[in-house]
Amino acid sequence: MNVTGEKFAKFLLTAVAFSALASLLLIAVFIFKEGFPFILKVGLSDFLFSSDWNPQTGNFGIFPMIVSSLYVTLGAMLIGAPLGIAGAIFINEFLSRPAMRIIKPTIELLAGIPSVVFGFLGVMVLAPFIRTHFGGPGLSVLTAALILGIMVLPTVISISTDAISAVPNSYREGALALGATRWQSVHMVTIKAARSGIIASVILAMGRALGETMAVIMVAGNTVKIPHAVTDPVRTLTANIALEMANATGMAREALFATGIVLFVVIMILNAIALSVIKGKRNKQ
Amino acid sequence: MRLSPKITQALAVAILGSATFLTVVVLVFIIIFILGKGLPGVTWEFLSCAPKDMGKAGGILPTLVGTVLLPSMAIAIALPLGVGTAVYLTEYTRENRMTHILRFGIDCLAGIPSIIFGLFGFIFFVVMLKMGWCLLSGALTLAIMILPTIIRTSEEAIRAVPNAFREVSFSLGATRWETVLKVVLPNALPGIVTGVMLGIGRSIGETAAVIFTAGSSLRMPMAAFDSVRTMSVHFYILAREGISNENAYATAAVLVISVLMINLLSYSMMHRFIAKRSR
Amino acid sequence: MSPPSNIKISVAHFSVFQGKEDALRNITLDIPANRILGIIGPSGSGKTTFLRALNRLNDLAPDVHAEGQVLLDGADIYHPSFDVVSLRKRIGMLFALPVALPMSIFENVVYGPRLSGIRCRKRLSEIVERSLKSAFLWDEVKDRLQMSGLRLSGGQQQRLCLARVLAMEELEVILLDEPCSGLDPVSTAKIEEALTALKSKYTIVLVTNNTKQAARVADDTAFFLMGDLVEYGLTEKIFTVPSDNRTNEYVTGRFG
Repeated sequence: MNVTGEKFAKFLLTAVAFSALASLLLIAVFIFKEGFPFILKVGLSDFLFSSDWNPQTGNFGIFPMIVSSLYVTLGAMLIGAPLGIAGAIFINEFLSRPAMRIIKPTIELLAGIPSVVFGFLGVMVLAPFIRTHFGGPGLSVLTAALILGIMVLPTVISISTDAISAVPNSYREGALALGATRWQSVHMVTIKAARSGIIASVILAMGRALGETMAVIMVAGNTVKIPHAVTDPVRTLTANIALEMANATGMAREALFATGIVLFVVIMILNAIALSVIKGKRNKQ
Repeated sequence: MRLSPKITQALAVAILGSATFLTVVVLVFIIIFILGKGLPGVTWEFLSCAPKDMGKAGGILPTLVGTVLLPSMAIAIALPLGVGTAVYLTEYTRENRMTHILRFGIDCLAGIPSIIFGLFGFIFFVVMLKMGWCLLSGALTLAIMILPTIIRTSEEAIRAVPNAFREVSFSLGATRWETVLKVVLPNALPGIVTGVMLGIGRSIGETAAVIFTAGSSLRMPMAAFDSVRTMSVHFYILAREGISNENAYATAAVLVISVLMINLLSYSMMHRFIAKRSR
Repeated sequence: MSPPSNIKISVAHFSVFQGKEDALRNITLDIPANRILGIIGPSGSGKTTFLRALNRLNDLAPDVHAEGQVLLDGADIYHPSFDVVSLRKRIGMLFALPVALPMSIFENVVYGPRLSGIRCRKRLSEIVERSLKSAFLWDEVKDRLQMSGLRLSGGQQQRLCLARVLAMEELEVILLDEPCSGLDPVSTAKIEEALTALKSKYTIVLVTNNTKQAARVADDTAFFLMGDLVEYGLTEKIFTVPSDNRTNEYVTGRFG
């Protein structure tokens, strides 16, 4: 191997590395290029805050979708976060080693179940149940929140577990040596130490819930209106893009890209917050 | 009324334990339910025949083929790009502004929801580049989606290779590229393969990005520009259009089993990898 | 004793800097051919830095730069046009911790030759036998050359590393960085025996924390202290009538 061969290898690898960056730039530039002019044309506040969504007549208010996405996501986190965090704590701190070695992989394996399967079960099992016991058409905010909550559980559990198991044993032992019970050492020391990782897991899961499309389309009902009850059907931002994409042309298509921009921006912000939470902790150490 | 610490602990364990139990039960229930309702429909005929009547009858063979071809093509594109990027980041540069920007870009890419990939893939590959709904459009879109996963796992695997090996290789007169090729990559291989499996698992379950780029033709895909329907897309269409619940369950069963098997495989490979390292 | 006539490596006013700190200060020293030079001194004296400067392994560390000359057979190895890769085929190195590459014993030994383009199986086998014999390892492993090198004991792995270095046909100089520090006395003796036999063909530089090893094995000895070269000369002289008081204190064990 000679010097030119080595130089070529380095050049090739640099080019390859920047292709990854290039594809991101491509997507970002593309989406903004297609969607931004639309926002300028229609006006940001009209786009975001008008409740009139009617592509045929040229009305592109996505406020109901924004509200729906928010409700569904928050609902999902209300279910998924406490369950997930509780699970992570229990698995890491109170489960015996052999049990942990079965349960942890089981949960991680289940993270691979496709979202459409969750959606289908939501339709076949959950929706009828909600229809009978809570009223409404069954396909609703509640159903979507429940299904999404279950879907984000593996994410919350696995990232929180990482954070909790990263807490040095000396912390735990220090508390126990002072006469604390297991639970006391967990909630007074371990959780506090793992706090930033746990928060990050919730934020990241929120981003995932916000971006989920297929399951939501199947169970949320897809009606464009601001929900007044949890049993009302709704259409989220993601569902809106998916449902309108095939038939959208011209302004309507640009509107979808604009929606994409909104989603993109919000999720990027969430991810950035999560990353800074983790980094903030690292700086403190 | 103040409870003794022992009682508080017992309460806490009970609550946390129930939460965990609930979680596990729900997740396991989902799998058992799908398999229970779906497996009876998974006959040899089902797997080897083409669908009839828009999927109401017949089997899912073309979708099986599509589900194999599409992720394979995506990996074929993403693997060299991903491993190359990982090698670049670990072996050829030190941490500087450029690498920070690169990493930030990769992290952003990882966070983009799949529907936006679908939107991008549709407008860019299918419409603008006039490729139409086909394997290639789908594979390119999927490749960008799984690129961050491949980069991350490859990077981890490469970093795990002990520096002593590199030093020895250099001291024997190898160039950096030779060291990467002969010592680092062979050693990092199990970790890289794990990343590939993860990428495949994700591609199999992916619907939003696929349906808008690869299309949903039920014909057997013969060429890169043929439209193809993957199992997850087929399942989605069966379910949503209400075409056939039995076939939907059966397709879901095959889907779930495939994904579980791939995850299991990658998990056991990771464990063998870690075990070998610590020897 | 007449001074040795043939100088293999000539170091002139050579310094190494780690960032702003100097790890080696103005070293001037001649390394004669076909002899064993022992380098002794307490930890942190720059012995390893010096050794790694000879095959430019220091280039791999960030922030490290060198000034001065290191002449190998008259050519300055730090000259920008000098081919570092071929340098490392002429100057081989053994590290303190034996590092067998995660491959078979056979592949370990032929790693260097393969890089030089040797493909013929017969020739590679010959190289393997010759090198393992010179490292006094052949008898112990000749029946299991396909076994992973990682499964050998520490002493065997270190001899494997020696064989690996000896397999390079362009080899002229062998550098050893405390090669016996983790080994039992039997393995240590085997390596010392090998080195004594090898000096007729190669020039050997041995860094050691163990002054007694230097006294046993080295023809010449150099004493480094805190980045300076305090004194060097015939081993006998350094250990019996050193010129510098610090040398005397070190070899008699007053500090270390």
